[in-house]
Amino acid sequence: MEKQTNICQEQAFNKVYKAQAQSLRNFMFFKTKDTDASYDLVQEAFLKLWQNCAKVTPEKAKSYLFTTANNLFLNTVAHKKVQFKFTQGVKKSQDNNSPEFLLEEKEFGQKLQKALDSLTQLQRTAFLLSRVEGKKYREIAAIYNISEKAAGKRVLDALEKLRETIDNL
Amino acid sequence: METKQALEKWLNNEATPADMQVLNAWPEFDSYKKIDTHTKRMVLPEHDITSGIKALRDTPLFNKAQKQKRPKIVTMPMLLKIAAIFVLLAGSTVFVTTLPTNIQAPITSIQTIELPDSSKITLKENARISYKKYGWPFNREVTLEGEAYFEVAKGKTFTVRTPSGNVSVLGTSFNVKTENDILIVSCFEGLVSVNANGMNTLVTPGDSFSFAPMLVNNKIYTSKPSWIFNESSFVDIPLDAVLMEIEKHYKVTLTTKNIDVTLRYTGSFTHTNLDQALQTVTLPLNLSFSKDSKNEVQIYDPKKQ
Repeated sequence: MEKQTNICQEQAFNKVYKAQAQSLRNFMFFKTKDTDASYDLVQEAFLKLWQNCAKVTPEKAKSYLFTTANNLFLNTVAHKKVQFKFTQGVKKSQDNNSPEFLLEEKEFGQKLQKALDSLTQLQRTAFLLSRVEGKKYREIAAIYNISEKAAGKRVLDALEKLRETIDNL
Repeated sequence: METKQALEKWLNNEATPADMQVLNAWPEFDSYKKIDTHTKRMVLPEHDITSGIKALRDTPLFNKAQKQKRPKIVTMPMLLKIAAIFVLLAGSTVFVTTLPTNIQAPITSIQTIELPDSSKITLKENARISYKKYGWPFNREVTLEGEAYFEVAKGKTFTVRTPSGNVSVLGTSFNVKTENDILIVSCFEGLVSVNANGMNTLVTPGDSFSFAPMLVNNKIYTSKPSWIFNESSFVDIPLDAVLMEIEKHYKVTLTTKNIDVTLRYTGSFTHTNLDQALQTVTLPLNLSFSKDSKNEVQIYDPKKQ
């Protein structure tokens, strides 16, 4: 008789970890804006998955992890003030690397930073999942257990709010 | 409204060329694009899979969870299997060792059996013994009903259990007769110890003790019990008792005529020939016998006739 695949087996658990750890880390990072805090939350979520491995099938593992991580995040108290970092835009043309351009880039980065801070946690995370992670509305909807339409609206609202904030700065 | 829909599609990477046309014609789209490009440059923390898994494994809680699960899934059935094997082994061993071997001699003939240590038991007609074959060298014990002659090989104490008492020897030849409450032990070789009626008696070669119902000592003059040679032998026995034995063996009716039946007889008669048997009993006592066709025999004194 063949044994049903179970996350309680080390190999199966490691497979889930490899597949989900990075995207879960990003998700937590968008929420916390904190590298260390997001790492702890990811590890904690996987620990919870291991403890409940008998109840969670491999198919349900992903949604279990995201839900658990989200709950864990909600339980944590507000963190120290931290900010996102952005890489320098690399442009092909020399002109674009002029001091003026770099200054302008830097300024815009600061504005974007502030604008992102002004978003609600839900708006920000949904927007970053869409833009940075490249997730479809369907996937975001699945994480928050909302409709696809609501997910799309959340991302769009965030973008519009960002533009308004940046324009007013 | 049209632009909003197009923007929403664009954010989901689903904008059609027509949508792009609408967006590109829209002055504010540049700002959105700029936000988008800039956001995408966000520095994400890199999650190291290997060290992450290792860190999880080092968590005490992680190992605790694992230890709790392992015994449930793997060890319990294994333990049960081992336990079952032991129960089966113990059970079958007890069964085999306690299983006695039963032997009963035919009603019409004697039977000789050899025990695992080459001791010999000759069973008289219809006698029955039971003993444990398993571990025989350590526990030489036989339960007897009826009469049997034992030739015991040297070794541990050999015990014959009878309802009236136990007979123990180390290595010898002896005969044990049990019948109702009777226990008669005759020793032919070596030394026999009999425990009956709460008394321990040693029987030496040439002695025959009747222990139950009462203690009687007789002498024997043969090297083996006479029934082994198909004979009945008597030592100083009243004649009428001898004649009753002949009646029993040959299924004949014996009558006597002007004879003193209290005469004592010492000797034996064969079980195979009635005429010979009658002769061996009557001749020493100076008696005669006559036989008729109906298996009726009359014994008389020829002088007194």
